[in-house]
Amino acid sequence: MGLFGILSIANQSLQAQQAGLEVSANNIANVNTPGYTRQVATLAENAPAPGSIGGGGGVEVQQIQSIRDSVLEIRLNQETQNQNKLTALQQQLSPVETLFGTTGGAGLGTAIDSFFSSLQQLSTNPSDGSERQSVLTAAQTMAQTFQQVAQAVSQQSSGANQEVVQNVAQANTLLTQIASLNGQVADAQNSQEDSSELVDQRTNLVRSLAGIMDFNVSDGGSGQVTLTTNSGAPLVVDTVATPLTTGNSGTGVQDVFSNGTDITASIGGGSLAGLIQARDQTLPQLSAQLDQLASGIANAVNAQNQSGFNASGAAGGNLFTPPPATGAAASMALATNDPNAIAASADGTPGDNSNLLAMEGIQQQAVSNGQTPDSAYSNIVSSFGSVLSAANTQQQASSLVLTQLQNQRAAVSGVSLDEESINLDQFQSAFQAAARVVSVISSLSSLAIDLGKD
Amino acid sequence: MYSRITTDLMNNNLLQALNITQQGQNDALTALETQRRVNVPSDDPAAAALYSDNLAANSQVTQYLQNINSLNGNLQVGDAALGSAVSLITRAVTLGVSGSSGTLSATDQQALGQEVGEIQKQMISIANSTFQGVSVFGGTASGPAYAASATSPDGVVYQGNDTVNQVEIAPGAKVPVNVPGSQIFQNANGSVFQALNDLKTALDNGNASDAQTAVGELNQGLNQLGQQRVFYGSTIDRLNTTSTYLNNEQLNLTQQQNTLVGADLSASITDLSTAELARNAILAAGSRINQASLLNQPGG
Repeated sequence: MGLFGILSIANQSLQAQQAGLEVSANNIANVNTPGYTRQVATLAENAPAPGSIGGGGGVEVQQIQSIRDSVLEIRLNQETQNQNKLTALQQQLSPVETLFGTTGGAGLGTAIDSFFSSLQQLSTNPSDGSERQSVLTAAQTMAQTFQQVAQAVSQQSSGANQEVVQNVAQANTLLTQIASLNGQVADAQNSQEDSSELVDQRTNLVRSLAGIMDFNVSDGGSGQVTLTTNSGAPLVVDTVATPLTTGNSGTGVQDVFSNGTDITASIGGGSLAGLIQARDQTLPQLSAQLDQLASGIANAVNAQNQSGFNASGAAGGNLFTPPPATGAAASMALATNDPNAIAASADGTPGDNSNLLAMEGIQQQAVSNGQTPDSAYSNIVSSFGSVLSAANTQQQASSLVLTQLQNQRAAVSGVSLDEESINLDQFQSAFQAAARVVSVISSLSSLAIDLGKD
Repeated sequence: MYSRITTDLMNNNLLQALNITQQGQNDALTALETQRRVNVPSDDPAAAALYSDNLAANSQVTQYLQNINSLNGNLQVGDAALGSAVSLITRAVTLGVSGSSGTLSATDQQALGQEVGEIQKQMISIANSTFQGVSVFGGTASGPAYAASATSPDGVVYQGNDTVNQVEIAPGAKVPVNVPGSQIFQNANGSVFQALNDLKTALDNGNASDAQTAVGELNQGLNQLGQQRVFYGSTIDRLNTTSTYLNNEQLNLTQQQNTLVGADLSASITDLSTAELARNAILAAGSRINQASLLNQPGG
């Protein structure tokens, strides 16, 4: 190898060390960039030049490699889906829960108790006009509280319904962006360009999509990813995104469709899953329990009132408007505003309270799904509280798992400033050494050129 | 254990540690603020349901106590009225005994008869006693229980009925609110009104022998009235006993509420201090870890 061969090796070294410095500089620059995957310049020894007597062929930058763990990325997606599902469920149920809070709440339990207390109070003086009015007022308060709670539940449910539509729109935007990045990554790889930044961007978008819904990720070739729903329907294939749609499929709420198929029930992760669980399961169940309790009380009180006699000695009628088959709580209302309509008497004597005693007894009777009004109410409190309590606990656990996974990702793909500092030192020293080689060869070359002079 | 410790990793851990301590601070503060461990059902669903049951039971106990109060007033009025009735009958017996001695002139006997007539009127007034506008001896009927009647053999007409209202004073325990006037003043085994009317007639007619018979009737009436009055005394006693029981029950229920959802304040304050200490330590550590890097070293 001649002097110029050595110079060539030094030149390669300068370029390689510079590439290393570039990679370190880029890593340091992106130390705080979310989703950034650290890069490493992989250097390799060159084969000696043909006819070379000894030594190697210098160095070359084999590749600039992004250090990522694809399995870890999938686990992160899964846990993000789980975490966001639970968070969305919490967000939907927490406002409703305050209606049943122990520090006041909407006071449905208190309103029910007050109604029965007012009947008791009237029983001590059944012909007293003001006590009769108190019963009507307590009944009115109870009906209004049922209405308020039922309306709050239905508003939360319709809010969740709107959010489903918004979430689907966001998911569609992400699908389009992922499909577009698929194309860019493939182009970059086909033209042997670095696609790390594009892959990082796409990984971030896929993670954002995981926040909304669950899906399967597979390798689509040429650096592309293929996303499909749980049921196998395509979401992103190559550069084509198949947007999701929403529509009313007869259930009264916006269902989610993929390629015309209703996939609402199969969405198991992401905020969509939490919204759908709250909207289609937990809140309707709560509504049904409230309806059952409201209609149980209204029907029992009406039946008892009808079997007695009002203050005028006439047969009693309904105290509450007969509850409809659905929405009994939201539509609970008084059928009369006449205090004398309360049928306290069992024998027609205005001063008799026997029928009133029977009406009070409803508080101890099974009127709602085999339970007394008080038991039914505390059952509502306990069953709704349990769903949310479980969601809270799972969410906390999921949060810990997610942090653990994020830490693992940070350990694999994150930037360590100490490491980069050492890399900088190493590349700097090597660059200085290569420059020194250039300087030495340059001086030797001059000497060789000057050999023939004088 | 991680293979590499990176800036992100340390920041993640720092943030999580800060979140956890802040959550601890928030929980302790909420407990101190509301003085409750359970503020919403999800804090402890079972305790929240029991608390709801407890509130319902407490509301019932409060209402039973109100019922007892109201009933007590009614019974006290009845008992006091019967006390006055006993005095009146005793006075009538005295008058009857004087009138039946055979030593009084017809005019004197008529004067006594006049006084018995007044006693009759007062007795009607007593029998028409009301509590909160409702006759206490009229059964479940409205209006005055008795009216004077010149045509009736005992001088009165009972306008009430024989039905009695009951009021619940404890779970499943109901007590009658009164005794119908017909049982007290016109009992078949001794009618007060019949005896008074007979005595007045005897004295008006100057008939000493009839007056003596009427005194006997009065004693029977007094005896019957006394027997009926026992109901009032024993029911008032029962109400007092039940009231004591219910007050204790209410106290227990209130204490139970505290056990179910109340916060342990000293524990909450300790939790708050612990969380604060932990948070300060983490903050101090956080400010150090991000300072120290090889890049910050001289020549680094």
